[in-house]
Amino acid sequence: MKLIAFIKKTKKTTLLSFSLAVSVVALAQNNPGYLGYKKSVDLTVTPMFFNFIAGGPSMKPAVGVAYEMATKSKLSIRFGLSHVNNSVTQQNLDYYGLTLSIPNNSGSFSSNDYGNAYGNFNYSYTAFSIAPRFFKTHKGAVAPYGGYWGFDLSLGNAKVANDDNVVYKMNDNGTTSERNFTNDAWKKVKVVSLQFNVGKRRYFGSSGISAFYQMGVGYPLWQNSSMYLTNTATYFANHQDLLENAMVRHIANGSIMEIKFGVGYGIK
Amino acid sequence: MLLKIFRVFLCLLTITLSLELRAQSLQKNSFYDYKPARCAGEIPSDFLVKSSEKAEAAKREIKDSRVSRQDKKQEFEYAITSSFAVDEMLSSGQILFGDSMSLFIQNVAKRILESNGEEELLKKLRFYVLKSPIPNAYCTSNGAVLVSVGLLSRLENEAQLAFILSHEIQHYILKHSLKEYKKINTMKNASSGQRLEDKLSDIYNFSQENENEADLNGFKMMQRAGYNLDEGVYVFDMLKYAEYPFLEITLPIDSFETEYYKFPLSLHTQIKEAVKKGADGDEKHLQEQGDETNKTHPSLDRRINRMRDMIAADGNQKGKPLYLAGKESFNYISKMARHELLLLYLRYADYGNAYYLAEVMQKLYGSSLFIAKVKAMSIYGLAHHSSLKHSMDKYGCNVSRSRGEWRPLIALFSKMDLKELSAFGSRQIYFIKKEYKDDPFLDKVSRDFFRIVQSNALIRISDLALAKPQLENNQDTTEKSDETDNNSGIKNPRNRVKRNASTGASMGTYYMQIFTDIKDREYLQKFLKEMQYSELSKTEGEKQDPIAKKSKPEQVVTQMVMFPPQIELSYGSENKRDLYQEEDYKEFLVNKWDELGDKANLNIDVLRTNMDQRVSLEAINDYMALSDWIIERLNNDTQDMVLFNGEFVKEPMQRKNATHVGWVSYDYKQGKRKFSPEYMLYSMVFYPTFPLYLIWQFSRDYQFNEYCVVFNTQTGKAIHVKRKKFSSRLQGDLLNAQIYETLYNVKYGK
Repeated sequence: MKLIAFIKKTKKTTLLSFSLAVSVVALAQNNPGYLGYKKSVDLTVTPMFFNFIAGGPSMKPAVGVAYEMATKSKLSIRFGLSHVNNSVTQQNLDYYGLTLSIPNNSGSFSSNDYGNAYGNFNYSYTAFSIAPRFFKTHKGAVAPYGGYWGFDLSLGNAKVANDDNVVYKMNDNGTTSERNFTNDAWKKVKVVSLQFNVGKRRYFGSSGISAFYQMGVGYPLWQNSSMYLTNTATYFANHQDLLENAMVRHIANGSIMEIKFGVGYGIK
Repeated sequence: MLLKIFRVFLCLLTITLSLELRAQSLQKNSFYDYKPARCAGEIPSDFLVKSSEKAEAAKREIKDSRVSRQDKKQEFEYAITSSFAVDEMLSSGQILFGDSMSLFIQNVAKRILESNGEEELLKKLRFYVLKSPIPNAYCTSNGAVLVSVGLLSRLENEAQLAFILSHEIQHYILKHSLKEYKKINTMKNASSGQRLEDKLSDIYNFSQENENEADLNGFKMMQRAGYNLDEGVYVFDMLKYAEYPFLEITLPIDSFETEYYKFPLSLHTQIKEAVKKGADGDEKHLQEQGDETNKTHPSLDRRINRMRDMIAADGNQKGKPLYLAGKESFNYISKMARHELLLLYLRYADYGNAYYLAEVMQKLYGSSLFIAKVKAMSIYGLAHHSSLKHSMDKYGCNVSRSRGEWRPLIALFSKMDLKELSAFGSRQIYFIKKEYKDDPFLDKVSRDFFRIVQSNALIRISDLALAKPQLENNQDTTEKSDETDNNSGIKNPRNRVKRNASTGASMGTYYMQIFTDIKDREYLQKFLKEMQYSELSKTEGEKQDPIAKKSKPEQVVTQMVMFPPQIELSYGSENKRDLYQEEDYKEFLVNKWDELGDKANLNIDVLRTNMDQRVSLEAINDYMALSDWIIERLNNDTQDMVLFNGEFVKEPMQRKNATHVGWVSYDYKQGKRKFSPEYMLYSMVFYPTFPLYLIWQFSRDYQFNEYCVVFNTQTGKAIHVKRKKFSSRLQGDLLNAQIYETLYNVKYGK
């Protein structure tokens, strides 16, 4: 019942993923692979340290698993799942300059209380990605071995985990005070990102064990929080929207430039 | 006591048997159905020792010698380069040892050296036969003496061979190749695509001074050996006429005509003009032989005059022997060399020349199945290439280069169109098949020839038997039909076609009279009926199921024979080769192909013929047989042809239980990257990428080329051809991936 409900809920996504999977399997032709290894199960690590541009480095790596399948000598398809528990820090919040604007008791707009967010909070981000990889056969690559370039389309869910440490320094007609808001029912923010990347996979001997590295540039294409692409201060009517906005900015900055590493186990 | 006697008896028995076998080896090769000569006996040390070890041994000798430092450096370089170059030639599959020809050459050389007090040289010199039609001999810097089949087939007696050997031995004794190297300070890098004889000529290219010195000292050697010195002069005469057939017979075109089958006047005229034009070129050619301007060799005329002066000083040569090793033995190896020469012409697809020489051999030695096969193959080869509209010059029909008595016949072949050639060939094949009914090769060639006649030349072969006699060419025997209906003045345009009502052949087709003179009509008709080709008569194997192609690919190759992989590693702007590393890589590649063949479920038998102790005689001979087959296949450059050497690869392939043979070559260059102004500009515009550009520009440039081809030896089809270039460093996993991909594609016939 739950499964049916889940499928109903995520109808479009399910249909799309299923169709893609079927078409990928159908496309799979006889191809040599690397010594017969046409598939690979990988463990990946993505250090998201490019967040330094947004006020401070974030050294929490995203870890994940991936399954790559070579359909032709030049092409492989990769399905990945990654997860990170990350933190938006004080430096990040300062950089974003997000402001809470809430009406005071007088009821008029002009006398709204304004408060800048301070502190830090945690969030979790899980992303499912699908990526075609185009191998550089002119450099001797045979999928899944060798140099490649490709696109990663990922669909992620981000959720604020713990907001206890966030306070707002409110300005109430010249009087400052700290206010604290908590929310126990955080919703998942969906983020769809696209990334262009290049990388290389090398194999060790004929064991099927491989390692790869990849560099990519990307950005969220769509997300369902209220995020602005410019870095000017923004005003939010509620604490929930403000934190979700900060969270998505953090994810976006982390994906501007990304380096990924992984080790794989080949399957024939 | 008894034991002693038994031991002595055993020794005597062994000696007798070995002498008997040696004697028999000269008689073994039957000429009736001649098979190519193969290597025999003990494998010479040249093939058992690695090139690097030979180079190091040569370097050690130089190290101990008292020469200047500068000279030592040059001699080291020379020792390395020449050791590897010679070994590359020896492992080409074109060198014979232990066969009757090379044993005879060794025998003659032994007499010369012993009579000159140079017995020690016998241990250093090795004598081989080079399978090449060009009359030449070479002596390498490390003592390998090569005499070509082309030269052996032209020699008239043993004394001429003695002169050639004396001359070549002098190049070795006087170290001419090392002197030349020191003078020009380089050895021309022979490229892997060159013919073997061209490579040898490039590397062992002596100056006029060297040649004169070798002539003079060689003459003295021959003198001491006791041979008739006049024969030395005749050798130069023979070399002057090297582009002529080794022996000539007059084969006029009208010898192929019959009472009814006569070539048209226009064809005769064309042939006469071509022959005359060619003859003018012959004069110029002979003059060039006498001119030594801008040439490394002295002119033949000058050498002849010099020899005559030396002979005159020696006295009258009358009565001096022409043979010391034995006339019968010489005649035997001469006959053998001529048979080998015919095989070479077929291998190089020189069909016009091969046909003429087969006629010469028939006159000289009488008919045989081998000569009949050569003639049939030549006719078939000409028809095949004519049907594909190939330039016949490439297939032994170059009139200007065919000097001498073979020119009229070559001109005939070059001027005939496909229909004329088909009719001409039909008659030849008919008589050959009539005499040798049961030979399977002749049967295969005949059937494929008549397929060409029907499918490409569009001649109904039954019409050949039905043609009625015409006494003159172009005589119109058509029943003249009224072109006009008398009543209405209406004409049928179809009536313009003038046809012999009974045969259906068109007017002016003199070639349809090809069988008119044959008395045994019943046999002729039966023969032509047997040779009739139709789509319906295709075997199951030839028919292709169009649906099957779309389904999942099946493994078509399970077992394959491979030539040892070749590799050239070069670096720097001058493409200097790293010969030691190449040797290591060759060994590595042999093992790699073997190993990956197992992983790909494809049994690969790599012929281990790289210079090594593990080399076996069987591998060398198998390599030779397959190499001959591939040369013929590549020279014909066609997917669909019966090959002469197909008969000789059957046995080795059956023994290895394989039907496919593969050849692979790698070429890896590394050097400085060329300056790229456009990338520099891009990086300056997108300035964050400028450091990346600098890293890229100053990094090494790598070029890795792979060329692989796999043939089915039964059909001659190339089932896999791979030509790839990678701008990538040569790494272990790159090689693994590429080799495995090749094997995978070969397995499924992609």
